Amino acid sequence: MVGLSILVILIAVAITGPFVVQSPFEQFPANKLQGPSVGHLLGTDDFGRDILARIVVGAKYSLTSGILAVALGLAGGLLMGTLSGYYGGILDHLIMTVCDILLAFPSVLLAMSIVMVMQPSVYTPMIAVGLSSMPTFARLVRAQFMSLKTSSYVEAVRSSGAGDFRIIFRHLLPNSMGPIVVQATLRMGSSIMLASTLGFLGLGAQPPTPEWGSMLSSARNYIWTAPHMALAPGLAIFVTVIAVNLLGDALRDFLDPRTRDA
Amino acid sequence: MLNYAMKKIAFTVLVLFGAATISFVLLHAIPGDTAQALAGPQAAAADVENLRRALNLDAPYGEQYLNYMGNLLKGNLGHSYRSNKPVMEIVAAAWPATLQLAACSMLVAIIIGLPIGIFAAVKRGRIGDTIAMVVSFIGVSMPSFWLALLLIMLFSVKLELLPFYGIVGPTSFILPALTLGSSTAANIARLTRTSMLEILGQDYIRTARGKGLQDQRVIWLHALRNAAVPILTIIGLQFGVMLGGQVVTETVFSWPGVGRMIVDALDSRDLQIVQGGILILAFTFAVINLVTDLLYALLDPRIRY
Amino acid sequence: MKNRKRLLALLLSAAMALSLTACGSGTKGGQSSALSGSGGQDGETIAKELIVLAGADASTFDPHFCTDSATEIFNKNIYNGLVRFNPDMEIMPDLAKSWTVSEDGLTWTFQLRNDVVFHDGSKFNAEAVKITLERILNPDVGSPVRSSLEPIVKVEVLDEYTVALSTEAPNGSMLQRLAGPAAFIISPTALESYGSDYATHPTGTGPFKFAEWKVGEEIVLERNENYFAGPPMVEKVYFRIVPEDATRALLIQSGQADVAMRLPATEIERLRDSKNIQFVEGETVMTMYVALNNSKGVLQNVKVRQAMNYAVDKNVIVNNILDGMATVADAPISPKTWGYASTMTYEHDVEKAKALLAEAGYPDGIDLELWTPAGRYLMDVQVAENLNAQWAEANIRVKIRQWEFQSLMSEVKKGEFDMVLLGWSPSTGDADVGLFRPLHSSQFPPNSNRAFYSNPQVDKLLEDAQTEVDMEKRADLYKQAQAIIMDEAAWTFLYYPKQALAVRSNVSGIEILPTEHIILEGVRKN
Repeated sequence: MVGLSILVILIAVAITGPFVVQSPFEQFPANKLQGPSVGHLLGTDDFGRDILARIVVGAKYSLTSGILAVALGLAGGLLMGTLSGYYGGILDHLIMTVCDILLAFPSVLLAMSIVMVMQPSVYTPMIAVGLSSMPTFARLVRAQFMSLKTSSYVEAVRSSGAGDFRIIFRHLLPNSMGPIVVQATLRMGSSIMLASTLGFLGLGAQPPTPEWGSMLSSARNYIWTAPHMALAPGLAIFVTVIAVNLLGDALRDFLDPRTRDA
Repeated sequence: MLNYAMKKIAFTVLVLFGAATISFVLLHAIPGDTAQALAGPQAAAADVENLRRALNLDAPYGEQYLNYMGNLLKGNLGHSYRSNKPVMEIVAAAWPATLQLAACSMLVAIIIGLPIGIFAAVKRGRIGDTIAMVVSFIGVSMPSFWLALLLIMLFSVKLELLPFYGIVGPTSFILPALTLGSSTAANIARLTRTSMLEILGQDYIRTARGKGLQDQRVIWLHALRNAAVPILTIIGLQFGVMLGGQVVTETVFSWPGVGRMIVDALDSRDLQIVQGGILILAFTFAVINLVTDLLYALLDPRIRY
Repeated sequence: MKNRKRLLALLLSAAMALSLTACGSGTKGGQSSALSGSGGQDGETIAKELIVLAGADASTFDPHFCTDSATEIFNKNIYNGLVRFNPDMEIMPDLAKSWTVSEDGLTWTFQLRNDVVFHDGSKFNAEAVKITLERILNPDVGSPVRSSLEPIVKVEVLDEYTVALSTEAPNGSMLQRLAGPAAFIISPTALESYGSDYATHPTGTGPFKFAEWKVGEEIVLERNENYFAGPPMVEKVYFRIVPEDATRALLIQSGQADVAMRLPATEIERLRDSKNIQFVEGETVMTMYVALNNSKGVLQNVKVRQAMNYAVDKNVIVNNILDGMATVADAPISPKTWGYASTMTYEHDVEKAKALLAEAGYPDGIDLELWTPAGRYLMDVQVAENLNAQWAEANIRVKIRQWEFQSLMSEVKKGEFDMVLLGWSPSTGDADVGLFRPLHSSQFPPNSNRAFYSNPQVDKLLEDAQTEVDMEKRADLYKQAQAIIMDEAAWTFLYYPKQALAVRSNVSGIEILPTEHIILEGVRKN
């Protein structure tokens, strides 16, 4: 519940915040790299922009990156997992081999190369992270379907003459939703982190977009002169991820008390 | 068992060739042209074309792919487009740094994570458990690049205690290993706690307790041994995650490993190096998976293959 | 590890000292003759090591395939050319003692030094020059720097130490071309014995010999005791690769390194107060500009392009973003480039910019996209962000798009962009490369005229200047060309970056050239 309340607050800030704070874009070069003060609660960045304003306005990117990436990964994973788990056979082998290959790639590198292949924008890292999480979801869905499809219940439905489509959408999917939702929520935290990592590596968000990862990246050059620049965006990512993770944990306990970490 | 092992090995080889193919396709889809990148932004177009011919980069992609895979079969990773050094040599020079760092981080993760997990399981439901789990939660949710910056700011900039660039001595490992190991430590702690709790709840442990064995010995001997399988699995999996996570850590700590090598080579579109790097990481990951799979089979006789 | 290195260096210097006393006589060429048994000259001792922090690794030690200034720095200390630049970009003798040009301007004859040996012990002579230049000029070799020497059509060995280069048309920038890193002379015997592995066995005539390259980690050069201009006063130079800017600053500050390259302006500012660090500073031949796509949309209109220039206060960029590490550009090429002539400037005037836009038919302003590389040039993204804010005041609404550099280069070729932030740095330090390549209409992408700028008059002037050997006339042609280019606002002219090398105060004698090369042959460390 702590997680949920933090998230609600974050979303509220992301929606209303931009109307309250100073401009996150207006530059005051004469005022640059100032530490926290009354006028700038979190200090100013290397252009003299208000860091608080940038954090607040940037909230939506991190939040959407988590949701979008997971939605995409889930959609792709569901499709692959369904084909693989329900129909089995050669298709199953093929899809699972591709998944294994993709999982052998370091996730950051996979996401990096996908971002580079696409046109750069705020959304590319989200898509890249989503694509790179597909294999994980595919495996989960497959495992669920495999165990369910041989259950006597599904056998019964099948013998009553239900088609594949009906079995998948009316019976298999609803029954495997629990673990999938849990996994999706848990995955959101790491997606937010991976997306901001890409921002940190300078891929994705376009300046002057106040994406948190890219804010941290520009703070790297000032760890001597203005360490405050690195604190706020990092803390923001941290709090968001922790909120999402807490929510995921709670959800898991609620939906399926027996699920384990592994 | 032997049959199982052979199957696994064959599959690993298949995965590696798949990885080579996918990275080839992906890398050639990235905009940017190797010949142009090598010749630099100020080069005349005619010079770029001469260079492209000299490096045989004007061949159709299909032909380049077949050449590459053919060489790969012979164990040849090709030559760097930039320096003409054999990729194998460059990769082999960077690999130990990556592997050492991953091993150190794993060590850190186990040293921190395992005791915390055991402690939490023993103190189940009490305040110690809560604290341990909050700590592990923080560990999982900490963005590694931020943790790296914080560690540098505290230990190198403020306290001037620890080095934070390259490998200048054993102390060089501390900060990057902490950065890379923290989230794994947290994962290990959580998993250790869950698996121990589960096993402690099982009948035979209850029986052992009933027999009056000392509490400590019960925990250590029975529970831990039986929790070993899932813990081992997660360690194997996390090792792969670490290899991937090094891309960022190596950049921040100027670490001379494979991750940074790949990023550098990508900057100049020295695709042979990038591919060699990706392959060595995939190879490491696959071998570790293979070893865990086999160990798993050895440790837990219930597994059928 | 460190101790062992030190011990090794000590042993080496002892051995060196012994061998030198044994050889006794010493060589010609100034300082080198006075080496004493104590291992020093003029009573000085040879320092054991010099640690230089570089931001990027080497690409290749084959100078004819090297195109990045970061690697040229290493090569510059391994090789020599026939002639060289001094810090004022004047042409000085190097491997050639003297030279003459024929009446018709078609043949250049060079008298070579006869006291030079390559690092592999083979002798430097006219044949080596011929083999080197013919290698570069052979299109099958694929040298990416070939076109910088393209005017040469024939290399002739007249005698052991005389070589003649012929061109089809007179060429006003021949010496500058030969002074650049593209024309470094390599050892023919090394080239033959190493073949395609030459790049990792570089063999030149320079003050330092290549010793080791640990990719991504360090490059080690060692003293060439036979250097013709006198062996350097340091045994080994370690170029450590430290990509993080803040890390390089920390290492030099704490004394773990002797020299640090390419520090960001904020770190330079911070380190200026440090007693133990001084800066070797200088101007460069580089121009930073925004290539305005002259062939697309509103930017085809000269008034709009002029408005783009008037709307920017370059002083804000120079002083606040770059902390003074640049000067405002008042021409397409920098004052350190031969042929530079300032004809006019665009003083910051937002009202005038708005008025020009209105005259051009855009009273409500315009919308454009600015592409910028990320991390290619010092503070590139920050400059783009500042431009974005400044243009906004003149109703020029700009969206920034940040690219990884190589992707940017291939996208720019397609010509479907509005503006792109770029730098141009003529390695020959001459207006021919400085103006012809980025502004002549024959040089549209895939060549380097990325602004698609085209003006027949400018074309004519730049062509004439290429074959003009009378330097005064040549300079005048370039001046006329620059006046038109400025007036037509081919680019948004921004600034000339300055360079600064952080050096510990016990180190002296390092020279930097406007081509951003660092010369270590005179380095002293106490």
